[in-house]
Amino acid sequence: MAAPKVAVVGAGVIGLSTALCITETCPSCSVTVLSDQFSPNTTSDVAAGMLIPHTYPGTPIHVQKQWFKETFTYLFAISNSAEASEAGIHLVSGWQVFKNTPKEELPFWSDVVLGFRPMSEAELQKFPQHRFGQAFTTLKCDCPPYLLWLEKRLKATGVQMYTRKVADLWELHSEYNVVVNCAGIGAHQLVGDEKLFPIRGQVLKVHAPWVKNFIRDGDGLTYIYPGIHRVTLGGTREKGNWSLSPDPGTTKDIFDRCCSLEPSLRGAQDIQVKVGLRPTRRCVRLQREVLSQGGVKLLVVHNYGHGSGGFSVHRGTAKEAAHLVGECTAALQGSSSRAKL
Amino acid sequence: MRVAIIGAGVIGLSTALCIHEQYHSLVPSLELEVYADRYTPHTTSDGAAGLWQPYLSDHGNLQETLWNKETFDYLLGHLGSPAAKEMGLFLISGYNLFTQPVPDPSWKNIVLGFRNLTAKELELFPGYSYGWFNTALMLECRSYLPWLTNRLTQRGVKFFHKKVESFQEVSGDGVDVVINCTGVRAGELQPDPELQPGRGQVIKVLAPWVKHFIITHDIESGIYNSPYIIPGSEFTVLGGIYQHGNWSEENSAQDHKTIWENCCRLLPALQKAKIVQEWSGLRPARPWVRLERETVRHGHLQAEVIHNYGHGGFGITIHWGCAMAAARLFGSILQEKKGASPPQPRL
Repeated sequence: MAAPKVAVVGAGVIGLSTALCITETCPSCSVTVLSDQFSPNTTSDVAAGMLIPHTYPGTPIHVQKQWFKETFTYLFAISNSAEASEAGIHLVSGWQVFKNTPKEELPFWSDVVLGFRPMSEAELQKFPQHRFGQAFTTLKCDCPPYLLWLEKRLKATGVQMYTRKVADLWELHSEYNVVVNCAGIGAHQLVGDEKLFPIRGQVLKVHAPWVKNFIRDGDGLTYIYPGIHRVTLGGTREKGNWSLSPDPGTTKDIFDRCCSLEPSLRGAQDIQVKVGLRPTRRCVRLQREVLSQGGVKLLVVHNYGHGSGGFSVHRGTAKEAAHLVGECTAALQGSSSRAKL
Repeated sequence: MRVAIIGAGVIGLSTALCIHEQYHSLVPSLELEVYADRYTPHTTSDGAAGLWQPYLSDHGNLQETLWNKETFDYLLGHLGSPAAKEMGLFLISGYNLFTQPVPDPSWKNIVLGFRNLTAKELELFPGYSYGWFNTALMLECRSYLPWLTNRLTQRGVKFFHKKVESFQEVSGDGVDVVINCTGVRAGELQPDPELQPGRGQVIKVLAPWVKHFIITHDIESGIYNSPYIIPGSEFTVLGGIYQHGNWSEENSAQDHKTIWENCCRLLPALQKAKIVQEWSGLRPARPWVRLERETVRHGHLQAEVIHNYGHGGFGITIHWGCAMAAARLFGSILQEKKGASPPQPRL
């Protein structure tokens, strides 16, 4: 058969990294990215892009760890190369602090990040309301730079990208052999996944270039993540809230919470407010599906539902999705050669 | 009582502040005057990146280790205050890299979270097989010196733009105590063969993705002669030059090349960084800090001088401990003046 035509729906970190992995594992595939939004207007652009994994209740821990490790290793190499600044990948050290000692003192990812250890008494003195903490060094993917860098890499391999709202995967069946669904929160409507729901996050992106370390409250609600040009202050986790409009009361609340962790933030300038809907699911939907309609088949690979852990596992899930695409194209080869008999 | 502080770098201004804070209520007639030919942003302090970090070894000089600790603790205490941003004070973490194992430094328990580097971390730095990670402080003098100046001005301290040629010049004018914070040019006021310039050159770049300091060490070439990268609040400082005895404040093309090539090898992404400024300065190097009293005589007249200079490449690191020690010396002068019967004729 001619070069398999693969459409990737979605141009956030999942869509773009999946498209890139597909070009790596299937050089003969013709890959096209279709999305109604591109950077800087994706959910990924709102996120800080910190490599601190979220735990999916429905996925075995060893799988999540593998995804994270794969992603960390990949980004670690970029951060160490001449492309680091263009790709927006940089190391950042800091602290995760807890008001109450967590049940699990060693998270599953503690040996993947760098230098993980409990905080010393002296370090904890900076956080009088917190009794326990962890210090480590991890990576941050700044967006838009990272997404733009992925787009650049894709274009260099000949991948076409189009702004297009796909309302139904079947729209694509005549033009493409395989469709990869990286629609994130859009999958709720696109494939009618009732198990997918938003967890709304409001963040502030401020100018505070003297903040060099990250600080995260172990409850996941308050965090300070220094990026290349701005510091992301967060946040909220509002289950089922679909609103993309910033809430001023929330802005003040986030700012106050972050200032109590890091008082110097009172001097932060140029506060920008952003909202993103984390595409949340018990587990990432990473699987093949064969859709059927009137005797016509459509091969689909789903890769969505990464919730608050998108950046942390993106490369690992992208590779797995690319592998599934490989299975699809192999199946297509098989059936097309059978058809010739 | 008139006190003249000569020198307006980090040492001069902090010593002035420390003395005023401690004694202005005890000595109602206390008048402080600062004399300097260079003020911020043209002092040696202004060129420094501002990282709190002593040299690797204190050579048994426990006094200096204590002053370093006092400075760190003093600054740490100010971190949470609203003044921190204005002072140019913030926390920063980073790496010290070596080509072989070395003993832990005297300051390992002063900084936060000191530990050895893991094998994976060392992968970031090919050529280095051993290292430390810790969290320390940055104190950027282009903010700190103006902050000190504001505090001093509020307290009524007067500033004079003047090159003082001799101690007698100020003491003969009616000044009771002279505080000598003249840094690398202290030898012009009183010869000091122990004091030598430790010339440094730095390149300031825009590299806001760098969040850690990285300081390499080459035991053979000595301190600061190995590349270092220190991210500030606006610029990142690239350095790695230490030339003992070199008085030139001109930027050297050869040194630029050395710094640039070495730092880019350490952090390849720096190749994309935009160069904003180049600067050379003279670290006031001395085997140990000169922090002591001296009664300077001229004919039958005398003046009390407190020397506080020779802080090499660790002036910011040690400044507050020294300021407090100088203030204690000032206190002892006050004691003596109280006890003294007829006042000595002043020079």
